[in-house]
Amino acid sequence: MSRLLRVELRRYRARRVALWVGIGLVGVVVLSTVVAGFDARPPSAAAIRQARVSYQQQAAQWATDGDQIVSDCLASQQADPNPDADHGCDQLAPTLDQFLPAVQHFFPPADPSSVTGASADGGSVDPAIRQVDTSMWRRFGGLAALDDLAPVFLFAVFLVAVSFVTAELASGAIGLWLTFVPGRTRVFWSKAGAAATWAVPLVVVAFALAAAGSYAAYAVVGTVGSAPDGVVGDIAAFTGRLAVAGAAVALAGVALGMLLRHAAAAIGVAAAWLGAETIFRWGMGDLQRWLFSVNLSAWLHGGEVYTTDRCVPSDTGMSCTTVEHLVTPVQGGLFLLGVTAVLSLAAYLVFRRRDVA
Amino acid sequence: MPLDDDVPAIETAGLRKVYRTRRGRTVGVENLDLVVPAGGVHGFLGPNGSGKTTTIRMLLGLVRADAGTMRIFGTPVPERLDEVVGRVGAIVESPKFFPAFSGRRNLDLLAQAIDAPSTRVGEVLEHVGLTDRARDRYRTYSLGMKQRLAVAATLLKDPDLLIFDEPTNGLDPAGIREIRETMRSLADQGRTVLVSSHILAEVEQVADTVSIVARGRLLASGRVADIVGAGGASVRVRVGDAEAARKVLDAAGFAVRADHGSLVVDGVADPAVVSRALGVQGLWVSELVQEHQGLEQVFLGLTEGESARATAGAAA
Ligand SMILES: Nc1ncnc2c1ncn2[C@@H]1O[C@H](COP(=O)(O)OP(=O)(O)OP(=O)(O)O)[C@@H](O)[C@H]1O
Ligand SMILES: [Mg+2]
Repeated sequence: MSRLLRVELRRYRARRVALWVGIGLVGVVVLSTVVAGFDARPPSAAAIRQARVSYQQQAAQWATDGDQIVSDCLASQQADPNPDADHGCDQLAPTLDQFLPAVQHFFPPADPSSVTGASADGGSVDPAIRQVDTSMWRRFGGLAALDDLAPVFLFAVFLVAVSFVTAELASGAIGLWLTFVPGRTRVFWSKAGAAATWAVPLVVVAFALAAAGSYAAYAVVGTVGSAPDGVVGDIAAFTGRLAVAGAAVALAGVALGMLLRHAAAAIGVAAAWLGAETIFRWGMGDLQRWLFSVNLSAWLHGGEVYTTDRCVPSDTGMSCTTVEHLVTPVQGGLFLLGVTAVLSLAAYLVFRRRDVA
Repeated sequence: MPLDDDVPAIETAGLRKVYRTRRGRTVGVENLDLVVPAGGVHGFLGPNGSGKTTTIRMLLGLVRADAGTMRIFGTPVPERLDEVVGRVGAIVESPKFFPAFSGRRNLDLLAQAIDAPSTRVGEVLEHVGLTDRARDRYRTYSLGMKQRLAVAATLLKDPDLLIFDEPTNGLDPAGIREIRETMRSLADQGRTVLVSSHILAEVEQVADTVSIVARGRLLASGRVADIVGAGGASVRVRVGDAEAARKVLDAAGFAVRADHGSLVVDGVADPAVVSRALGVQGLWVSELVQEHQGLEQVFLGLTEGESARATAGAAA
């Protein structure tokens, strides 16, 4: 087994698709670094000047109309049937911060609302959901933009894994291979193992390069910001989970390639599935809990939140509230594991019985 | 390598394969009992679609048999194929390698899979004369070079049994002769070569024994000489008065037919009986030739008979 695995690892590395995808990933990393370079630049003096001018105009306006606006606001608040209603009448005055262009930092500053634990609408919120909503990857800044690259990296290893098996099926080389190694079990799992093994360094190196590139871009212009507590651990954990997801996606790619035999079919099925998830997600209600994208995100980000609308009849028609639900990283991980295991097992059983032409 | 002559290289019994496709069922092989003796070249003959490739695929575990048993060197396959596969080198239909890899890399991967020493790859490439092009991509090879690379691949294992499925497809005369000589020399080294083909002349020249199949069934099997002999020899005679001679031979119980101005007497082993029968009636033979049926006639006779029977069966 280990010998076969070594041979398959060597074949994976020698493949041109792997080379091209590697080059493509480098391109993605370069691009993300360039984008980070734009984001990292602090606002120019001209932009700040412009912001001040706009603020001063608004402030002058407020000086004349402000009292009227506030009293109108308070009146409408009083008229509200809900005694707890807060129309935010004390926050209507313009502030300079509202006009200044935001400064992006590599390490995002903590979200102040996460400290108070209060949600915008004043309702109490599950602290676990709060934690996911305010995690480092959901904030604003260089680091938080990096996790958007994860699907790109995962798709890349999926692509290579699919073609790793379909190339062999399409060329018929699998037939010759089986006359050298007739054991279908060993043949299948050595291919799956090779694809999963290579996926790990591919996504880890790509992510590390992207992170390093982004950090460097922010460091050059001096907007790194201060590292929050435990950020290194958070990044390491994310990278580790990304590596596991990479291996899982590669196994799924091998399985789909083996089952469908054609690269276009396997990639098409995966793309159609993910596309359908994105399009129909908002109408799916509680089924969102079982979407691949939701579970993958839960696994990568240490949890994922989805929302449903709960509507009850009221005297004015229907009154709806948005309810947040948590998908734990454990569920996400088990879901990935389950999907990978089922696909791999199905592909293995089919391959074991299939006639090879 | 010493071979036990009593154990056939290949033995199948009651072998059967039915392909199920969306458009129905196709019988690939039907109740095939094939015996390939160890040593020598064995021709596996049959028209297109007669089940040769299917049989070879089943032997190699590429295709699952629906019924029957198979043994390679006495070892039941596909159950214990991994025990004997190292002794079997095979080219099934056209050679199939990774197109984007060089010939060398293709062989390297195969050699690593069976733990063959890496020097072996250079040796077999040298043996088939591909050393110069070994670093080029397989995709850029000519058909003959692809075929030679496939032969090289089978030699990686130093096999006792070589299975070549239509190895001369698409080759030029020189390439065909080269393959034939390769097969002969492999057999002379004491190995067994099974070569499938529908080109009879080619097999007749090199094969020691043959099996003839059609529609997935075995029609005949044995030494080439015996099979050709079984069809019987015929004697072609030219006599001045052909009409009289024909009457005489008919009366004597010979199977006579006219052919291009001479007479052909079928099923006669010794030409002397014909000339004696005519001589005693005062008819003198001006020319007398003994004719052997080629494998081709035997083959066409057998396979046409088979399809006639199949048609009759369908009509019934
Ligand atoms: N993969 C397949 N699916 C369905 N039918 C098949 C398949 N492979 C072969 N057959 C059918 O099985 C029969 C035997 O085919 P096979 O390829 O074994 O013949 P062959 O003797 O090798 O012919 P040829 O001389 O043309 O190579 C044919 O009728 C063929 O159509
Ligand atoms: Mg064939």
